[in-house]
Order: sequence, then C-alpha cells, then structure tokens
Amino acid sequence: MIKIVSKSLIIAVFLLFTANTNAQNCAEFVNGQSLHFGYSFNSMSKSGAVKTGKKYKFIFTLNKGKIYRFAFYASSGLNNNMEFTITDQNSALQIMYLPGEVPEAPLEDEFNSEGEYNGYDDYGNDDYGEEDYGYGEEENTSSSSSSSNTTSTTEDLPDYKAISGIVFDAVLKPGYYNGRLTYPFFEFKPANAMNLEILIDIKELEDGIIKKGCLGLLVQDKADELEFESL
Amino acid sequence: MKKFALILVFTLTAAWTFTSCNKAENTTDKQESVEFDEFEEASSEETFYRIPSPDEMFSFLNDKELKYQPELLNPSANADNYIDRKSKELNFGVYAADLAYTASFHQFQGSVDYINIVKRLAEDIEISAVFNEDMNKRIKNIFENADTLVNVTNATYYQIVNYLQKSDRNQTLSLLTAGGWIETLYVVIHIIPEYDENSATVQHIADQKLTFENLMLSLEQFQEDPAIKETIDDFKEIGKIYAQLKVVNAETSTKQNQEGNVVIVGSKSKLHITKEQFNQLKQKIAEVRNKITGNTNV
Repeated sequence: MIKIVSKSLIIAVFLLFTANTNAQNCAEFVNGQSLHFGYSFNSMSKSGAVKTGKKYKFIFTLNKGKIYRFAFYASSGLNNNMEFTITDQNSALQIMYLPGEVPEAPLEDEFNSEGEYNGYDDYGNDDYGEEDYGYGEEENTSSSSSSSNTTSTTEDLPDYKAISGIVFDAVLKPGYYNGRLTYPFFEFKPANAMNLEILIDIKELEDGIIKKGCLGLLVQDKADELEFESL
Repeated sequence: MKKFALILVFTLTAAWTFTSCNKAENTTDKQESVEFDEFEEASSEETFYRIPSPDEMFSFLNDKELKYQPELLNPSANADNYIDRKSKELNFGVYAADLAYTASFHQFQGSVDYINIVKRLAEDIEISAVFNEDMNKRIKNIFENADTLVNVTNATYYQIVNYLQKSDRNQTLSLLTAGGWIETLYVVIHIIPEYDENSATVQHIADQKLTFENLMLSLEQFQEDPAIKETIDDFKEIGKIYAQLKVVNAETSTKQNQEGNVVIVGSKSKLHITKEQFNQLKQKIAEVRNKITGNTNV
C-alpha cells in the first residue's frame, strides 16, 4: 500500500513539475523590458511561443513622423540561431538581411569606426533604458557581407543608410558591452508611410529536435522632431 | 488504500490547477504565467498583422486648430443597444478608440467615462480579467499625472490585444481592431475643418490605406466567421475608394537626420488623395461607422 501511495505521490509531483516547466512566460519578453530613453511603448509589440524550424512573419504599418525602435528578445533554448529578413513591402525592397548566429560577441573595437553605438552614452543614462545594442554601420557598403543570401544590397538603395559589419548577436544571446547588458535592436525612420515586414526564421536544430521558446518584439516609438515640426 | 492514493493525486492536481488559475487571473495585465501558443500552427510559416492602435493615429493630431469634439464620439448610452456578439465586439473597439481620442486631448473626465464603458463591455465579451488590480490602480493614477493618461490607455489597449491573442480569440480581436480603426478614422476625418492637399492630417488619412489593407488581410484570416464576413463586406466599400488613390513622387519630403543607428526606410513615393476622393471616403467611413454604432449622424 505504501508503494501505491509513493507512486501516486511521485506521479503527482511529476505532473506538477512538468506542467509548470512547460508554462511559457513569453509575455515577459515584452512586458518585462524597460523602455529606451525617449521612446514610448507601441502596442504593435508582440510576444509569444515559437519553435525551431519555423518562420514567423510580422507586418507592421509604420507612419511618417515617427522613429520606430524594434528590440528583440528570445529564449536561449532557441539556440541563438535565427535569421532576420526585413523588407519594405511597398517597394518590395529588402532592407536588410541578418544572419542569426554570430560566433562571438563583438569586441568594443569592432563597432564601426565612427562608434555610433557609443553615442547612446550621450544620454547620460547608464542606469536607464533597455540596455541594448544594435549593429555597426557604415555608409555606402553592402548590406550584409556575411551572407550570400542577401537579395539586394544598399547599392540598390542609395538613399538608405547602409548596414554592414553587422554587430548582431542573434538573440539573441545578449552580451555585455561597456558593462551594459545589451540586446539587438533596429531603429527605423519611415520616409513615408509604409508596411515593414520582418521575417524571423528560427533555424532547425541539427539533431532534428524541435525546441520551444519565447520570442518578444518590443516596438517603441518617438516623434521624429524633424518631421513632426511640419505636421 | 488505492482509493486514498487516487484521492491524493486528484487533490494535489486540483490544488495545483486552482492555484495556477488564480495566479493567471491575478497577473493578467502583465501577461505572466500563462502559456499561450498563438504562434503554434501546423504550417511552417505564420503571418501576424500588427495594426497600430488608435492612439498612434491620434498622436499625430498636434495641430492646435484641431479642437476636441466630443460630439463626434459614440455616445455612452448606445452601449446598452449592443446585444449580439458582433455589435458588442465591434463597438468595444469603437469605444476603445473614443477613449484614446479623449486621452490624447487630455480630457480626464471624458477618459474616465469611456474607461467605464470599455470596462462594462469587457465584462459582456468576457475579457474583464484585463482590468485587474494593477490595471485599475494605473487608471486611478491618471489623475495624479497627466502624462500617464495616454500611456494608460495605450497599455490598456495592448493588454486587451494580448489577452485576446493568448486566449485564442482572434475573431474577437479582429472585430475589435476593425471597430477601433473605423472609429479612429471617422473622428480624424471629421475633425479637420476642410480638405487641404498639404495637410499632414490629410496625408495620414491617405496613408491609412496601408493599415486598411493589413486590417482586411487580418480579417480575411477568419472570414468563415459570419460576423467577420459581414464586416469584410461592409469594409470593402471603403477599399474601393482607397484603391483609387494614386502614388506620387515624394522625393523631397523627408528631412535627413543623423541619428546614430536610425535607418531611413520606405520609398520616395507617397499616396495622394484628391478632394473628391477625400469626400467620398469621408462619406463612406461615416456610413460604415454609423452602421456599426447605430448612429444616424454623419
């Protein structure tokens, strides 16, 4: 009889354990993040459960007169292996292609020569904000030297601020730069109203095992002062 | 003893289920501790249309000549008239847009009135869990800090959207979004005194074509639902007018700024709406909106 009770207890404890560990707290991947200095929360933000081997496409309508900031957060269980393809739907031009995996977190001196990232320190708000980082960038260079899948280069987009030497740590594996925990983000300023498509390809694992995790897209915006004056 | 063991297992499981449910209810506004697999589908690719909330459109209305016009909003008394699911869900979106409008003009009493209507309709459509203790506390705090009024309405909208998604109530969300969009456009198109080709607000109304297209694609995902099918049919008339808009060159319209990592995106062209198209749109928007709300005024 004692055996039966013990078995039952083990089953009960097992059920409790597995049920709780399966529960995804994905919303925290958006709600749990601090807003970056000067930006407001945009309700187009999205979080949810995802799994390896699938693609997730998000269509955002962006308005002229605002600057949008997209920050990405993901579970480490997704293996830091995902690709981002960001496209202007209206012109069908691919804005950037970002391979997911970067073997090593970049060193500080790998940021672009002009050191744009460090510009964020100008806010003087080391203790405030999202504590994230984006990518290095240079003008007039191709959009992704590390990827052969890029369908268009910035040569096709002469007026776009070109992206290259991407300092992009997939997830998405946050790293520490200048002592700050940082996450990938992109900032966009629409020249005119547009639909922006972000395709996130969460790569299949080599062993074929499907892993589930959370993905969060925190969208923030602020008025583009230069444009807003004329509105 | 076997019986005892089974009872024990049952009791433990039931106790866990109970505590989990309570936890979920108590933390709804933070979306905590609730498993939701809205991304889970059989296909290898899924698409999510993210429609801007009403407050985003209203945030562009910074022209001092645009006065607060509460008479344009859906009267609170109408809330009693919405009996069926479709009208309740559509008008929930309508009132959410009215709330965003009052908040954008810092109309505290008006905002509180509309918050109360939204909360009442939320009960009717069974999403009252969104307004938990934390959210209610934030709502009360709007009197103490004017800056949080818009933030609270924006956060409320986001929590509603997320709650519906994680509850797998995408049809409700589609109707709510449609109601919010039509009310927002109805208000905006009626508060500007007259058509002005160079008006930024008129341009934003033209740009709503993009949101409209996403909205329709979003609705079409659930068109097997008769309520959504009817809404699509109503909205198609608006689409016919938007389809007439031409794309024009806007090469010099963007001022280049030099913010560190900001990437300028979008084409050099923009949508152009003529005075005739504007007036047609204004009339059609009013017709569709008034059909939804049951109002007769234009």
